[in-house]
Amino acid sequence: MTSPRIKVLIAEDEANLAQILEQFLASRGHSVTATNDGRSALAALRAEAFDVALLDIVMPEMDGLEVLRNVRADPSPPEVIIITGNGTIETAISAIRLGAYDYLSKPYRMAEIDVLVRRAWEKKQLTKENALLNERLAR
Amino acid sequence: VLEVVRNAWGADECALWLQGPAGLIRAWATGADVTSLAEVAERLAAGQAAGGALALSPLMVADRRLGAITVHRTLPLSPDERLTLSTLANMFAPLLSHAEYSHQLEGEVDARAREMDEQRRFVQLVVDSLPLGLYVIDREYRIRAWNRKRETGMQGVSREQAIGRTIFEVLHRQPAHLLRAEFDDVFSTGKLAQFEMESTITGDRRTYRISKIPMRLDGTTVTHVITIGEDVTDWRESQERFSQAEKLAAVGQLAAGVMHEINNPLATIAACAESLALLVDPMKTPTGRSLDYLRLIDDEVHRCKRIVDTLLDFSRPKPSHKDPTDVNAAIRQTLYLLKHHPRFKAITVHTDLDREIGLDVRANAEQLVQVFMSLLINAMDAMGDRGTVTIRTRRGRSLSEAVIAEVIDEGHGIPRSEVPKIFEPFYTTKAPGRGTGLGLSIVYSIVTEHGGRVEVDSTPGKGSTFRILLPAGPVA
Repeated sequence: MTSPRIKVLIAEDEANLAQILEQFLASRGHSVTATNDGRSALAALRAEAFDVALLDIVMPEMDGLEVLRNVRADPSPPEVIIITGNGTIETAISAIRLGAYDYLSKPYRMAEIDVLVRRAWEKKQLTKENALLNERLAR
Repeated sequence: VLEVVRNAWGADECALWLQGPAGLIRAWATGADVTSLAEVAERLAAGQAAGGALALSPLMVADRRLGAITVHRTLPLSPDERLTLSTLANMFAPLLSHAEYSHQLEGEVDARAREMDEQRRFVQLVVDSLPLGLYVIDREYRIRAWNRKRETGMQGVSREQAIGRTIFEVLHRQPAHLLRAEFDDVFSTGKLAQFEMESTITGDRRTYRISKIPMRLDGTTVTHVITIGEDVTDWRESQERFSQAEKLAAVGQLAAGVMHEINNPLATIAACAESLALLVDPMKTPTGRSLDYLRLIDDEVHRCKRIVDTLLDFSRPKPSHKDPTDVNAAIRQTLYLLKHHPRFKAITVHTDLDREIGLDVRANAEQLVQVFMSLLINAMDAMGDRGTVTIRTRRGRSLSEAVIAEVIDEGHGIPRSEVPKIFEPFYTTKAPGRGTGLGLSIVYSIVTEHGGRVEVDSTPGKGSTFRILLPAGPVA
């Protein structure tokens, strides 16, 4: 089975980290776009459809949780994975409450992110299929 | 005299009337009691010296009327006799006035003395009721006042034994030349001197604040020095606890801020190492090493992460979920977890747990285990893996100290100067790699979050006792 080409958005204000993560995920076969602040992340998410968004919490302009709050009501929102620099349980809880798929604290292993991205994508596929089935049943 | 006058003149009555504070009184009389008070008062007011059977002469000193002398005879007095009577009155008046005055003076002196005595007793009582030791010395260093507090206690000397002797004789334990210098300083500068001193005379270490106050009897030169000693041990301890809590909070905040910034570069380092590992071709010979090194980078990064997480735990202790908890059970669980530790096997553990203790405190059992784990590991490290560590629990005397748990080791102890630092994050005396210096910080943070207190007694070379005092906690 060939791995799916997942459309991933990275929002990470640490430029070096964003670049390495982008290269890593691209090498894993994903289609990756990297942004360095919350506002451009939101703009990118509104401009085209992404499967998964990796959002750092602490970012200039707009933080990751704010971006999540903005996109979750969109018609086909991406699955969001929140990434935080201070691993407090409170931020994790609020991220999940806001509808994030999962949560990771820095420093992380990129292999873990790859796994999470794939699982998030699968969930999104299931959600899509469910919606389709529901639609058919309703007809 | 009146008796003689009555007999000589053949009078019925001779009387002396005196003006008292409550009005005219019949002070002395001889013969029949025929003259009434009202009659005399009326005559005096009218200034009538003679009339009918009653002759009267007022007793005057300057303009003051002290009273009167009256003679009652059916036959009125002749002018000569009246003159004699008034002469007699003029002689009497100053005498009476003088007697009255000295009598008054006597009463006044008495009253004044009573008043002064009362005042003296009052001042003495004030001085004796003070929760302070107080004494006064004069320029010869002789003790002039010595209050009750200085009479009581281990170092007590009775007032009788102290007053009049020199301070050097009475406080013979203190070096005389130092004591003299302290007093001389106040005598010469005329300024209040204050300092703190520690004493272990009563057994435990107490802190006293000593004030030497200049006293000037004539208002100009210092004639006496008042010395006041106040036991400020409790105050000092609570101040130290407070400033320690403040300091730890500040350190924690600072550390949390720094640590937060550190996670970002750590994430980049870890990501670089991971990417590099993917680029290494495992088939080429020198690469085996490279992969080891990259794994090392990864391991160390994650060790940093653990330290950061622990520090964040310290600086922002999570308000944990608390249930009625058995402290003894938490200790047993800690011992169970440590049982298989090879280093733990080398030492002797003595437990002395109060069986009365049940679910006495509201606490987070896991966090309590963490507290006892840290304390036991520290005890092992302090003892160099030999000796006895004692864990003791008992019930406290109040709700705020419901259960008291002690971990007592026979280790190297903590120098007194180091005690205030031991709860600071990263303070450690252990060899590099043996401890992060966060254990006691976490203990402090957890116990404080539970509303409790950590106390330390330590004697260098003998060992340390860490005492955890936990409150019963809010009623659910």
